[in-house]
Amino acid sequence: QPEGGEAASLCDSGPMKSPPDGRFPPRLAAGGWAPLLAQSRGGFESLWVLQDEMADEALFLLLHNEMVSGVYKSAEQGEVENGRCITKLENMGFRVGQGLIERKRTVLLLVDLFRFTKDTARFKDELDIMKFICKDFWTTVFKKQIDNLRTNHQGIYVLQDNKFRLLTQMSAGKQYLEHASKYLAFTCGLIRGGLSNLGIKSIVTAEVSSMPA
Amino acid sequence: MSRQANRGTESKKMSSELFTLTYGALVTQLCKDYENDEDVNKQLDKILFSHFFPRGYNIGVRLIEDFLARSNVGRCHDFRETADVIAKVAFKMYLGITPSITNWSPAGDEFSLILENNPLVDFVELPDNHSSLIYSNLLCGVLRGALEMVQMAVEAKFVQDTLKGDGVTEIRMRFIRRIEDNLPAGEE
Repeated sequence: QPEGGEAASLCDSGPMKSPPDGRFPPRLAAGGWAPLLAQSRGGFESLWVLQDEMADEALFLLLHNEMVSGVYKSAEQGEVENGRCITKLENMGFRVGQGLIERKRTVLLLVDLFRFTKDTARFKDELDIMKFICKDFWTTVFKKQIDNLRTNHQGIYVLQDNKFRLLTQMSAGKQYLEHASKYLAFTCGLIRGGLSNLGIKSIVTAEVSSMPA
Repeated sequence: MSRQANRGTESKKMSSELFTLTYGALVTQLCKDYENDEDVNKQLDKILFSHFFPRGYNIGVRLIEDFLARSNVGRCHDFRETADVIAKVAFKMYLGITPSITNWSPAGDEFSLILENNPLVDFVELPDNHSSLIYSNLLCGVLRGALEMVQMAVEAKFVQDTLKGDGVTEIRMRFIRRIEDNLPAGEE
């Protein structure tokens, strides 16, 4: 059981739909959602919000949650271990990002048109690739586009997602912000992997300024 | 891979690729973390009281809620009905395939799910040094966890695997017993 007042905040984030009557076996209905949201030893568990995502997205979201919990569960506490876990998740995301781009051959065709040449058009090509990441890539992975893209035109891009799908199930309490980084690592890798297969070497970092509404 | 004119189909396809690719990354990571395939198999499924972290099982206990909310199936009256719902509704919904149900035991407590194509193993090959890895073992954990939440204790295991050269993939499901109202021995 979570300590103190934390139990309440875990259970009331977002528009929770209550289970339709008679559809669940008595045990589930009586206990509500709480018994199935056991705290993992990492001290954090995210809620599951139903009915707004496509079923196959449900599988991915659950798998991602399990990966994050699992990576942390088998590690010890501490800064160094935390860094190792983040790296592991990021590396897994990297492989997946590479794979997604590799398989998306129709897009590769498009991107070939924007391949780097060694001239001043370089940044324009880069911008086109970043726009692709913000629109097509983000939509097919997260069912929505990036809300805001900014750049200093010197190789730095800031992608802003106001309703990041891997975090929308979490409670908005401040104590969960520090855990958000675990849920961002995979996605950073995903972007880095995708960009890598598009011919761009990058460093991708992420931060959460406030939990999605 | 042909170009899909329909945006919806394409994004749905890519979304399922996201899952299979992520699963592949997970299995690869587990193979790095654990020395032998048996341990990896356990990680993917979760044997009772092992100290390994339960993956498939945990996904199953949550997936069942999503499934019951999304589908309109009522309570199943017997194991045959359960088999039908698993094959025709659940597998279709989450993995886009409909396995066939065969080889019922005379007592009606065991059956096989035959998957012609296993979407988890698209583009996957087992290297020689991982020949005993049950790559898709997560599915068995998911089935076990999900059914436990609706008060059925079952055993699920792979008896054929296209990754190992068999013609089809076959999961054998065995009904063990009905779980009465006390909560399961929390396998976390």
